[in-house]
Amino acid sequence: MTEKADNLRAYWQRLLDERLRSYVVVVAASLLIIFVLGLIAGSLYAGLIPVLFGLCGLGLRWSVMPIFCVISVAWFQALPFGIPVYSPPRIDASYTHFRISDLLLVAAVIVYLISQYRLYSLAHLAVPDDRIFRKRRKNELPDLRNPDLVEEREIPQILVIMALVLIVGQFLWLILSEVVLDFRILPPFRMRESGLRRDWSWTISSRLIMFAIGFGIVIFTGRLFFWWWKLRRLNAEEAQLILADTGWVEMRREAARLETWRSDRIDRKRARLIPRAPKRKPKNQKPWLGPALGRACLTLMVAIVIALVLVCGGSYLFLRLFRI
Amino acid sequence: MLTARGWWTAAIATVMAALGLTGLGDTAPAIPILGLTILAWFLLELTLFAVRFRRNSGQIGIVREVLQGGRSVITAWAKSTCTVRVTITNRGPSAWPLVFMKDRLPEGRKIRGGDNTISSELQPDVPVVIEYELRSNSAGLYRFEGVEFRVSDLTGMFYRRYFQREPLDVLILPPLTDDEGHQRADKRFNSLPPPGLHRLRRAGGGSELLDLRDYRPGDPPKMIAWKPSAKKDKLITKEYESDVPVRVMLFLDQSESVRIGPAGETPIGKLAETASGIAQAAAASRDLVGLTRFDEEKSDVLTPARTKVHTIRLLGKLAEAAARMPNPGPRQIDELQDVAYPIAQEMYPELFDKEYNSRPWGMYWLPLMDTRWGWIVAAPVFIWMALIYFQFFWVVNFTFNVVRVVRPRIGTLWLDVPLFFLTAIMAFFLPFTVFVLVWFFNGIRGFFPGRARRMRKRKQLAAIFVTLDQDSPGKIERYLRDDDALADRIGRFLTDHQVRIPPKLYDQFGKYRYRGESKAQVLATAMLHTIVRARDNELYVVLADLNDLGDDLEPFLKAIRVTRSRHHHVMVVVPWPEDMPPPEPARNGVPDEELTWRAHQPGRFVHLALMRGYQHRFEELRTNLARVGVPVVRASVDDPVRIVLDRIDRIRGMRSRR
Repeated sequence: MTEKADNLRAYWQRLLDERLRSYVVVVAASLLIIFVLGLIAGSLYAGLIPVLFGLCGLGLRWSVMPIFCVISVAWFQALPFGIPVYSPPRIDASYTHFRISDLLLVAAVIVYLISQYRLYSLAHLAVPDDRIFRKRRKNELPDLRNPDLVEEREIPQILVIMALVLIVGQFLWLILSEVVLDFRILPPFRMRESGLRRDWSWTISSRLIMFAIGFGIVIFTGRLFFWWWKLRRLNAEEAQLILADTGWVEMRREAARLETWRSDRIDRKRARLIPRAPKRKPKNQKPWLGPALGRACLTLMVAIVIALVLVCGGSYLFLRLFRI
Repeated sequence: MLTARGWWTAAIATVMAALGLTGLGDTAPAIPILGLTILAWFLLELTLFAVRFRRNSGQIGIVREVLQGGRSVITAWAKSTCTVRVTITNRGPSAWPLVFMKDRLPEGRKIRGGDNTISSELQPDVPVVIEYELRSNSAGLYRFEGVEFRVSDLTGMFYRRYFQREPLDVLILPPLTDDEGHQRADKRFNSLPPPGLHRLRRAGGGSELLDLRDYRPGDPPKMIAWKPSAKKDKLITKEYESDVPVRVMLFLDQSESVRIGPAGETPIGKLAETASGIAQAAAASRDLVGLTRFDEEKSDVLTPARTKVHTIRLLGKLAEAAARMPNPGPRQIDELQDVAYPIAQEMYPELFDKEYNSRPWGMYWLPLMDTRWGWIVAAPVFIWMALIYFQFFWVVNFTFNVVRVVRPRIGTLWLDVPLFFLTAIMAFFLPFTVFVLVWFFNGIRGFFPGRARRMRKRKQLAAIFVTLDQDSPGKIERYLRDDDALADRIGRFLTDHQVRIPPKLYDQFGKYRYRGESKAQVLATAMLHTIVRARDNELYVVLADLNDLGDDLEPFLKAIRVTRSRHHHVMVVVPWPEDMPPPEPARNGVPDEELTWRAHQPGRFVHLALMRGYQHRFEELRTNLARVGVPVVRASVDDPVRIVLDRIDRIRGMRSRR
């Protein structure tokens, strides 16, 4: 408990450092915008709860809170009162592009996420360590970004990134909502008919299919590109490892058999070399058939019992389930 | 590559986008827009990070300097702080916005000042410097492996680990001493003898004036001292010191028993320090010093000389001996694996990539027929097949009898018929059914978490070892199946990286594993070889752990007798543990009160018993060697350098030491 309190105190000391102040202000401002937009869109809860999550994330360094904040924003967009007593009516998609309220909300959330994550890197934990340690030292300080490295241009950079992704997001939504797949024509796309039409379900399916295909293409292309890049930049050891590993995969079973026989042979030879304790003749004891035979018999018995249990149990369950 | 923060962000953005694209998007369009925007931001950050990482990896330059006394050196001195300066330069085209750089410390060493880690931005062609201080208490080796980079983006959603391997071995030479055997200090000591005293009292052909005497006919005219002759009005001749030196031969034990201990605190470190003190002090008196290193198998010789180059070479040999690693002995493979795996993971992170170092599912399966007893389960199948072939109707009869008893009677025709046939098939191929069950349950055990984790680690290590050795792929399977082969390879891996693991001191029969019986014979042979080439006035200083040899010391005692018969002198210096009290005088049958079983806890009792045993063995050794006229000195308790130097002076014919 004391260690946790000390860590929290240290976190607060870092948070109050003047070099981090610009990030703290940006986080607070973006949370304020989320609060106001939530209030305007629906209820007090819609504004308050995401902000509470955000404040917990900021003040108590609960690193999962930014995610909860985003989820709660989305939740109150779908259900303004938080519970399904009232859900907004359907809107024609053509009226949903580049709306000021959406732009402001998304911009606030993006700025909040970026600045909160950067703040965590400065005050809480920059990166985790995925290694297995032989010996871990107690009271080891977390890896943090040096506050001296914070530059004045970082906040404008965040705003530029936000503007860029805001436009990309809106255009993606525009494409997905206005373009419909139609396999009767070539190329298989057409513009969506305006209004709430009867082919609404196909429009939704079309959106999902296009999203899945587009997302898949982006991921696949990116993966392929970086894979190719990685192969071009292989060092000698990596190349050697690939060759060895491929060779092993191809010959694994055969090599395993050979090595098993070999190690058996070595074990027996070693067993002969180790001086054994003089044997004592047991009194009135039946001859022992050997550990291998005993183990095999035991396994056979266990297997038979399991087989019987399976057959009987299965039959019983079958009869009970079908009430036969 | 993705941190937990990154995973959660990507997951929540994808789910929001996908949900928003359903009917939810028509009632609340902010949800898909938010999801798509976060996804776009995530992909942008991911691409930027991956491009920056790929462009720079492999293009980081590292320059390491070891500084001592303000100068860059290739060897360091023990008991003196040295500064390690690592200059890291990014020669790639992109900047890494956030990097945690850590210079891997030599194994078992602690930092005395500065810091070996730094978090910084790595701009192209802008060097970053890591500087810290190290200090070793005894001779040995600093093994620098390289620098670890943990690269991240500013938001901490992505990170990669990268290790730039730049191995460098820096020998730690034993500390410098003056001609009295003391450690050097800033203040210089006057090492000249007082006026009128001479270290080398015999007259000879040296260059230092020893005495003046009356001229005797036959003396060379150039030796006449003209000024005293003019004063005394008779011819006076100058006499010079004899320069005939004493030859000192050091025998240094580098067997397994003296290598045990933490880095920088091993017995061989103390012995090397003593040897170095003797060698430097003797060299300062213009005596010749040689070195013979020996272990359980062989010995090597550095012939005596007195030049500075020779002294430095001798110190280097001592440092090499002190840097040798002990063989930890036969260990459980899991124990070794647990030590080696984190080290390999730290130093070869790229070789743990799943794409290169694969882990197919099949490798976890345990094949039944690879066991010794698998045939016992398989044999009934073949017997049964033979029975079907030769006694078909008996098998059919058996099947019907079994089915009649155990077949399920449900009462519904469409269920009864298939169950009848299923039961009949199982009964007809009964051993086969059992075989399949045994095969399945035996094989599936390999997927259980503990075993699967061990197997995964083992495969990864095996593949890395094969890569480092440029071996054939079949060797991977050998390392997976053969514990001894893998243990041997892990042992070499740990030795290469100077990683010490606590050795097993006793074998399965409770016998001390590091007695090194054969080293007495090797030492004796080395001494006899030295005697063959010996001249007058030789001193043999044996720095060895002979405590545990007991009766196996006989070859060494014989060699000592031969040495003494040739009028050489022998001294023995043995290592002495820091926490071991000196042996007490003989009790003459009086029981040791401390060693009463009931007075102490068992642990304390064992500790005391071991201590008494060590002291007793030392007493025995001292008695045995005293019988052949050889004194025994304890390193780090007595002052062995001083004692040896006194002995040198005695051999030289005079006590001139202060």
